Amino acid sequence: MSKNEIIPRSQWPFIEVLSDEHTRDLETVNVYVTKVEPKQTKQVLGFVQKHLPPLQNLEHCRRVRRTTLPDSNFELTLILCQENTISTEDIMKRASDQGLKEMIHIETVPVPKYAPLNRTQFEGWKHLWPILFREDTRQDPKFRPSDITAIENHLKAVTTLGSESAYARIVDPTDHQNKVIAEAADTRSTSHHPLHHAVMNCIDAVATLEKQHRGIETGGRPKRKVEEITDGPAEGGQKKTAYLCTGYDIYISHEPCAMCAMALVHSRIGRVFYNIPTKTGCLGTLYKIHSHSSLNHHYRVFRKETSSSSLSSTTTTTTLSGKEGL
Amino acid sequence: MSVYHEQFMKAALEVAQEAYDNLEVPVGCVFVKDNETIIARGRNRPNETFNATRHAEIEAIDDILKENDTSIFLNTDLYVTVEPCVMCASALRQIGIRHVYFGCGNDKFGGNGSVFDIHSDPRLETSESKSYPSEGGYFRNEAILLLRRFYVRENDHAPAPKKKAARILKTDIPEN
Ligand SMILES: [Zn+2]
Ligand SMILES: [Zn+2]
Repeated sequence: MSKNEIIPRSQWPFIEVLSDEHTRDLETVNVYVTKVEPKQTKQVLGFVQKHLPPLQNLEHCRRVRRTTLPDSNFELTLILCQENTISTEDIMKRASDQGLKEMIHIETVPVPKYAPLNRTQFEGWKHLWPILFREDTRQDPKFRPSDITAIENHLKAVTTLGSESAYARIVDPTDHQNKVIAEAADTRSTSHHPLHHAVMNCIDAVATLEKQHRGIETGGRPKRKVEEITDGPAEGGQKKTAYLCTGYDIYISHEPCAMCAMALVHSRIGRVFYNIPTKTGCLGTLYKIHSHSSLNHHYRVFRKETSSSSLSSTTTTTTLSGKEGL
Repeated sequence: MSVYHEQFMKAALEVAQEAYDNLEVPVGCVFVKDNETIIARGRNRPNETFNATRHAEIEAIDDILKENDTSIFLNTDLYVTVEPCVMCASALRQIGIRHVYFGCGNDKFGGNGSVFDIHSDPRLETSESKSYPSEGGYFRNEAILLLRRFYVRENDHAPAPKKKAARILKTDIPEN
């Protein structure tokens, strides 16, 4: 394995927690179809395009299906339109008006409702009706062997440090040494504060460092100008002051609760790696806060352990039972 | 039992104005004990603290817990000008708030019904996380106007100002 080789998804030692859209099973919608003689296809297609309601949100479905018959001949089936957009009587009336009555024999069939977003969905859905799929791996994380090693080390570290309570560590992945920016444990029991979760403490620690860096005394009130806090988005160069975690990764021993998951949205974290799912976790178990369409920032989430192996009865979940997420 | 009192939402709006004056997203809140005493005020401070999690609710909760045990929340209600975000909605479960009254909804991040029902989701129930009743719409227009004034001002100071039309303060507020 070469040093710069990009490791394929199937070989990652963790899995990505994808959005519901990426993991959903086949859902279908009914359409009217008709078998057509090959030489009449063009004529029927012209009729469909001119006289029937257009297909909506079914761009992923091919208009015509070709089925090979046992005698090695083939048969063509063509989508007329969606069921419920028009009655079959109305279709037939329009067909006879165009002199095509004999060519159309309406049947109702289900087709995949959504475009496949990955190969698994494509392979699983294409048998129902031919669908289009253009694999897009441009957005895929590019992990090289050295990245995988660093990730595994950080995950191992937070898991060891988080064996008593939970533990979180924020690192800068652009730093070639994967520099640790801040780390923190869950201190709910020692500080008698129910919100002192590891993630919240860790974000606090990053803020404290930033204040020190800027020479602002902790607790003191920084002098700011309007221009400073109304800078453009992070892409514009300087980070907006509160979005301190832009581009950083966080490693967490356990799947975070809603509060912590959303705190990471507010802080613009880049990626989240966690080890163990929790009963009330919000990055995969109960919610997928990182990929919800209405939120203004999305981050990628990777999980080390599978839900089934840990949710059952590992010592860690027992120790931490009763806590809402972590 | 929790009883809504208008004066407390007015107090929360005053705190929100203070956030506005300090160049923060204008959200303010007060925590009220036994339906009569304001025990803490909080306003957004993310810019000032360099910490995006320093929302009004979190600020006030921290103040209260400096002096009190969490059991104080058994008799304490929150009045906040904008629906708590998902983060704060979850925090309020975990401190055991009694009741939440809010002004306008929060379509982008709301955790008390707008985006998620964090406040009432029975699946989140644990010994340290309780569902709580939540009602919105109190002084909704005032809360929205304050937010709009803030965003108009912010766009005016942006390096590349958006089109003029986007900066005009809209004062008509559709019902929802
Ligand atoms: Zn948490
Ligand atoms: Zn909030």
